[in-house]
Amino acid sequence: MTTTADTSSHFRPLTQAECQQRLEEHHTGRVAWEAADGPMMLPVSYELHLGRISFRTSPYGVLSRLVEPTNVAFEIDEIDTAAGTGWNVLVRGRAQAVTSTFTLSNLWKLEGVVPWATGTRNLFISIEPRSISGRQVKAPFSD
Amino acid sequence: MSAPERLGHLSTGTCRQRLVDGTIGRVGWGNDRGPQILPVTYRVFEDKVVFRTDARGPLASLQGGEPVVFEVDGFDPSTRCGWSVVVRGRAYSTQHSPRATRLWGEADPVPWAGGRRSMFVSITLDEVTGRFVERQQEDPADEREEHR
Repeated sequence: MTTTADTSSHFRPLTQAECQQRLEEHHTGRVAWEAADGPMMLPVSYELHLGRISFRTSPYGVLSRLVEPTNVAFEIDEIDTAAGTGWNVLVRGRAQAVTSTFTLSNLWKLEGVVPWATGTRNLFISIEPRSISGRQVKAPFSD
Repeated sequence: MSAPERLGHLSTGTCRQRLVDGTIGRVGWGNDRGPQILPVTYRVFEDKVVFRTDARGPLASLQGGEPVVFEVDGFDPSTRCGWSVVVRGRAYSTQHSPRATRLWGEADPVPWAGGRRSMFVSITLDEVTGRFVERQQEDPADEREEHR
């Protein structure tokens, strides 16, 4: 397991089960990859399906370049500075287009991958995790 | 059934305002292990996104103009409305910036990352873009100007 290598003691690592649970419960995250002209990041609505992060996009949009196998990072978080609470989960892995008919027919049924914006978003991308790590603030913030 | 949504780009002015108003964003960059994302508490100073980090932490590798992406967003899963602003630029760091320290002290942002954060990293706003999705029952007046 890869950790985010934070040297401070303000965080405790989340267990793999906790990371998994948060990935299942949430449906909005951000995907980052190395584009030709530098790093890029965009939010997506996703569903964790068969252990993979899956989302739908337009074949004409920026995210469509992830149909080709691409190293990506995917992140979800919930940070409340007023309450002094927060956590984040980072998935690192490989994105590519979903081509299996079986998987596609399942993905079309899932609510989580329905994009917030309509239009021709009939391209499914899924991220196969290589590592999943997470951390949570231990105690309310103090500085 | 959801109300019809509107999808569009935020104006540059709105993107800048959202950046100024925000406190938590995510930095994306590449290292030898591939793309990385970490959330940070940030401020906009002198037309740059500035955050503090641990000089021994993962973000400390951003020192000399590495290309990075920075993202802030706001989503409401119940209405399926949201927006995001994406900054692409270069990251520079300094361990001793009296001016940044003073500005940071005045702004007093509540840190998300704890520990000793002796290093300031600033990201230039080379490219700033924003997008939104909204539905008719949402307060359209707030966003209407962005379609001009």
